[in-house]
Amino acid sequence: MNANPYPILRVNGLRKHFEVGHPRKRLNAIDDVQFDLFPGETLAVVGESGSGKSTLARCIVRLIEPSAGEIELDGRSITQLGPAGLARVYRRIQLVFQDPNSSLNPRMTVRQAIEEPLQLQLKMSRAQRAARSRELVAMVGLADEHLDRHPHQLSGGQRQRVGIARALAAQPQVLILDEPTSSLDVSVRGQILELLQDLQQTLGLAYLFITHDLQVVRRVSHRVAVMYLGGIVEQGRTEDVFADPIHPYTRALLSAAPTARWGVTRERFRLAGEIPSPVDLPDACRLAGRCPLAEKPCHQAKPALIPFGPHRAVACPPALAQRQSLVV
Amino acid sequence: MSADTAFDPAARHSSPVREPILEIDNYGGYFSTSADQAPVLKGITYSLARGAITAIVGETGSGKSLTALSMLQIQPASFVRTSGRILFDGQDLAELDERTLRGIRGARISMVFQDARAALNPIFTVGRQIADVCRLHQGLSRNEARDAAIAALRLVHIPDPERRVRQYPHEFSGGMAQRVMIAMALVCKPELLILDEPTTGLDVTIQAEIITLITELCRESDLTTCLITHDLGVVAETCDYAVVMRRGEVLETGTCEQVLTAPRHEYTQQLLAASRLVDNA
Repeated sequence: MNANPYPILRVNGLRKHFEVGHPRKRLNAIDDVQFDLFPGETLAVVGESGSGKSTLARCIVRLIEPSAGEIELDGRSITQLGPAGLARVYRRIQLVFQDPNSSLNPRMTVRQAIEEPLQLQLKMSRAQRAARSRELVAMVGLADEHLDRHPHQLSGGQRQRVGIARALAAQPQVLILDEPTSSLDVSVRGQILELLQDLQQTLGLAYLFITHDLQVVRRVSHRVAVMYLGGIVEQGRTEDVFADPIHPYTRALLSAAPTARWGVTRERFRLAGEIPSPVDLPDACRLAGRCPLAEKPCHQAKPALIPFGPHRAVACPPALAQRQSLVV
Repeated sequence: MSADTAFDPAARHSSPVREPILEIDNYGGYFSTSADQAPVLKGITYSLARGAITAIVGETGSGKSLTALSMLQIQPASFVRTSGRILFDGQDLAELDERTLRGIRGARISMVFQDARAALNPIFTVGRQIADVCRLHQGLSRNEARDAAIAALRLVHIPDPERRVRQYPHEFSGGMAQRVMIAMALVCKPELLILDEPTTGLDVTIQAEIITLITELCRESDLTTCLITHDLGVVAETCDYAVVMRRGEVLETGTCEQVLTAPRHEYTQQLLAASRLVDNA
């Protein structure tokens, strides 16, 4: 992957809670999340709806103000930066949204959408902008003629390409991709993933890839972090996690995904019930009420991520104890 | 760990030849609102075998949902039929009057839509909404209908149905709301159940539960099911037969096994490749 030992993005102890309802209750959308993202790598954040993965994306670029924690971009904290400082940060870290229909302004042509960041962030002249926008559309596989179209004249896949071109305009080092393929047909999904992988190769980008699509995780990511109710429950190299999931939630998630293959029987690992409401959660393992492995301590304190080998961490003492007893 | 009992390839195609319950024959048409009036359905021909699960597979704009809506004659009013018939029990649905159709919809053919919480009426309890179906089609009393609603919720494994019937749609999660829709569709014991993208928008673990439920219900009651989906993963898990559509045309029909293991049409092959992003999932 990459020999550079310094993370381009480091997130530590990140929390975000919202006050909801009457009387006020606390909803922990992100609960003590930490990870490193290295240059040139893809870290997938996978989880189901309500796991807090989109809130995480928005907190990292401070579109939502985190409640606590530290975000470092290339060794410098961006947690306390004001608007001017953030504007500089956005040259280096950009977000691509899920739904290109609502993230592109319907009244702007592709050219205007792409030139806007060039003008605002890089203060380019008209001629420079024209040259650079042609370069950008070519980079994402569109033609010059698309520059003068409006979003409604483009297909879903083309719109997502515009979203990517716009994010790349200021030559960032980190892209946060929030479900970039989930509103697309499968045949288009493959093309967009290929484009993203090519761009990563040529530009050396680091991706924080937020998705619920396990096939996408396997295809594009080097490492994966599995989220459940606001916290990371398992983290590791993608091939390791998929070959041998340890955390009960990871096992349940991976065994539930269909394969599009005839006659493949999967052993389902089932959890009881559904994801509980994230409001006013007790200090316990978030999965304890649904988990077949749950023991008494699981209901008494929230387990932290425990390292398992050099590249793996799992927040489940009972599952790890099972492993170790097997090894011995 | 429990093995998934719903998936058993050997149990499929148990009866050799199945007669169709519904036949779509050369069905075609266009939208009168489109400028060029280009056909959106072109000579659609396929049939739904009695007691089997048939998948209609296609991407956006393939016409898969429009065809299914036509089975209930609830397609958009701007759709103009130019050819073909939809034969259900020997009669052409497109020729029936509204009164006769009302007797068929929800009673003999019922449909489950993609976004369950949008399909339910937010201002009535789910019990009332299910009960209304029974009272209309079966003439049940208020009490009988409530009991039928509770039984229907129990059938789709909703815990504590006596309490749940009194709740409103917003009190249900997406997966539970989809179970309610399935309960409502099955409460009058229809012969044909149409499911339009029943698991799209649901999380994978919830999707797996809903798929298991659908296969279980179909196998137990010998219900005929038409499953509309863009997801070949769902097809592989559930179906006996598959129909592949693209841009208003049927490209390929066959048993699910044949379509998934030996696709004949180039597009089916591409779709399969695109659905299997990794080699050994």
